[in-house]
Amino acid sequence: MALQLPAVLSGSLTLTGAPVYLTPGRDWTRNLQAAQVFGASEELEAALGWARTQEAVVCDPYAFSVDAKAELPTPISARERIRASGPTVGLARAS
Amino acid sequence: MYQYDAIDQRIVEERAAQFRGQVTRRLAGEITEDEFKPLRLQNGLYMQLHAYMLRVAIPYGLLSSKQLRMLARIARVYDKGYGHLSTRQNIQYNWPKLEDVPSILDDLASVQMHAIQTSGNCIRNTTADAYAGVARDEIEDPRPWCELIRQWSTFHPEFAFLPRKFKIAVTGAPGDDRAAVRFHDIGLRIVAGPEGEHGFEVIVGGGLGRTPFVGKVVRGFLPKQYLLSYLEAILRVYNVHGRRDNKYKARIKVLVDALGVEEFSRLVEEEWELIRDTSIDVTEQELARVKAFFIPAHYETLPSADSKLAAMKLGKNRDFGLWVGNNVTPHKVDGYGIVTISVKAPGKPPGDITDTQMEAVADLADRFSQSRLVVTHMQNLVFPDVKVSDLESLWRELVKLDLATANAGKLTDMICCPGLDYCALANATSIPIAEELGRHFDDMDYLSDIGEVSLKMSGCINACGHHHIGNIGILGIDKRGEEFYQLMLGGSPGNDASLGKILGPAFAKHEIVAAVGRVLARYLELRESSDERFIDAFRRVGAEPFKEAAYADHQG
Amino acid sequence: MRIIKDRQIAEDTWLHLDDETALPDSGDVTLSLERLRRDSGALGARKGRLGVRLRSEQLAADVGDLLEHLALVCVEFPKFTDGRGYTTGRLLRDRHGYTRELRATGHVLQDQLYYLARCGYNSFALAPGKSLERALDGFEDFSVSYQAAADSREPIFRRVTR
Repeated sequence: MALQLPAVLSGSLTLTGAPVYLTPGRDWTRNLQAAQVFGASEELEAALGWARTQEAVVCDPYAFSVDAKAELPTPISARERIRASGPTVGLARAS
Repeated sequence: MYQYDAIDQRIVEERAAQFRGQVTRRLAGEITEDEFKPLRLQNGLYMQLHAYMLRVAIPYGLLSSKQLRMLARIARVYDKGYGHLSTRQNIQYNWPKLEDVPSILDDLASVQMHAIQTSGNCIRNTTADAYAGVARDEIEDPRPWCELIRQWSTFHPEFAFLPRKFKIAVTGAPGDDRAAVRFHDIGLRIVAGPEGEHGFEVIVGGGLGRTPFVGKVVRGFLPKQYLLSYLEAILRVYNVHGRRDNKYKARIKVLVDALGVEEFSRLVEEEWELIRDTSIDVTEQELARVKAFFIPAHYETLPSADSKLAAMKLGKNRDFGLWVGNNVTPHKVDGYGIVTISVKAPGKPPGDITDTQMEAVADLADRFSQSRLVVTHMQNLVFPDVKVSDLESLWRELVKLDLATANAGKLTDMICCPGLDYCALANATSIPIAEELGRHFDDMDYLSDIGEVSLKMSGCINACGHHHIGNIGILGIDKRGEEFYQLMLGGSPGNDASLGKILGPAFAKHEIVAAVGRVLARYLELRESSDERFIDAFRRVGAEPFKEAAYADHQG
Repeated sequence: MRIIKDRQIAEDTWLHLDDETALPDSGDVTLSLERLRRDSGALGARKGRLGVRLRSEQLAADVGDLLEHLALVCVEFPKFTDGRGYTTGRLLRDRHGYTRELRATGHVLQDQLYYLARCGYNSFALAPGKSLERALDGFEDFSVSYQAAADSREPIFRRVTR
């Protein structure tokens, strides 16, 4: 299934597994709002290629679709929404 | 408890050291993530949605209080203060850092524990009946055999890179399968042979996931001294013939199905004939040693407490009575009971337990259960050896810990996978549905009226929550970025094994709990008596009346 | 190319011929199993030793009748997660009595060496770019093992008093 654009490029930090997102400055951020939104597939492919060389820092890079109409990067899938904001349920400790 | 000897201890220590080296090489860039992944997986380390996840092996679910205290410490020091009990009788931590994992493995080794082969395409933790050793209907304790399997399978050089993961379960209670042996790659039932001697019925090719199968009997009676050579023959046939081109068709169940059980059995028997009288098999002496390395429980000579238990159920303390009725199972020794500690408090993630709860439970195990406990595949804890006269004291302590929910075997004693809140594979959340079900069905009288019914829920078709074998199964799916839930009915894990069938179109997230409620209401209307369990009523009348009820208010 | 042989770093002295290149008159060569069967008539006349290269789906029994003529069996691991070669190694040693050089080739990494050695391999052509010196540590990961395998024919409980 072809990825629907626009999209954001993501991966998991090698040290902790935390989700991170690629910024326009080719840096990684924990903040989805600061992620680069790719509108063109060539650009995205190039960034993915670069991201795959970064596995000392970030593992398993991939792209996911975001809402074209939203102002800030807004994932279309429940998976990416939860991944960005953390578990929807309270942690056992907190209760 | 099986006590490690110097050899067992050396192996887990060397494993921790090996993994420390592998992590160092990964962080130094000497091995790639693709090369590291299978190595970390064989130490139970996954990459999940928000963080790494570490799965620690609890062989056949058996723990000492000392080990539980270490699990609590690991939760507090390296994680966010809790762990999750899994359906393989293991515990999972959701937030460890890669660089801490070698130290966690060192800590585990210090209490004779490890994370060896808790993931990866290898032989996983062998599970057993949670009541092993204390059940009245057991003919032989399966745990020494599980321990022999653990040792045989630990770093088995031939079977470290199988086509896919491989799970074995053992029960010594032929009359009541509490280990779901028909839904494992290999299920072993200890049965009595023609002369009354014990052996194994060997069941192969069961499993859940996207293509569920009930396992098939490959050998009706295997003299028990041949267990390891027979397992080796099965694994060898699988390693050579199992599919490696498609991971969704790589489990042994697909091979057994493709070859047919007769042909599969023929291949196994042919291989076994060539190795059965070599040195693989356990000696009488080694079996005796392993049995002796299980510290026996010490029982006082007490009168039968069956009538006392019956009186407790009807006593004036209703909450205690309900708990005794639902969570205490008769023990093989007079005066003792098997206590299920429900880790399914209403509105809490099923199977999640905090560091403070773990420490408190460890203290209670010291006081009331000879310092030992069992993690069950139902994601609960069991105290196997509690004196009936101690039950009320124990219950009062459990109440303080929010671990006295009297719902063992009832609707809200759900199996639930971590789902999309944690899992990288999931398509939908499952814990929020479990929490909502727990809150919705929190009336103990109603739950008691419904009686024995199992609800099992998975957040994707990989079926970690065993949804196919719940009397009521719920499967989370994704429809264009939204979570939906399929409802299935009629599954059963035990001797009457069956797979549930999907009732109809999936429900939206806000509809699913109400749909379960309507199914249960219909059951109460149509059952012939309060003795007719949900599954029996379903088998009698079929899916149609339940379907009608479930979709009565369905918005589509 | 350098390999590990008998737990030491050594130079690979064999010529690994594809199915088309003409057979040299002398020197040690390995061939695919298909070519070995096809050219069997011509092989007896030449000087030099013979070896075979098995792909991961080719099993011990497929080559069993030829073993007495072979001084090297190479088993390919296309990905190190393809574990068929472990069974092939054990069966070559245990069932077919092959005693000469058994080499793992392809995606062979440090962390498989312990398992491979236990399955009867004594020679290893590592994946490109991997340090052989470092990989030698892989044999030492564990000082004791539970099971019977090609290296120790008896499980731990028959080897020592526990």
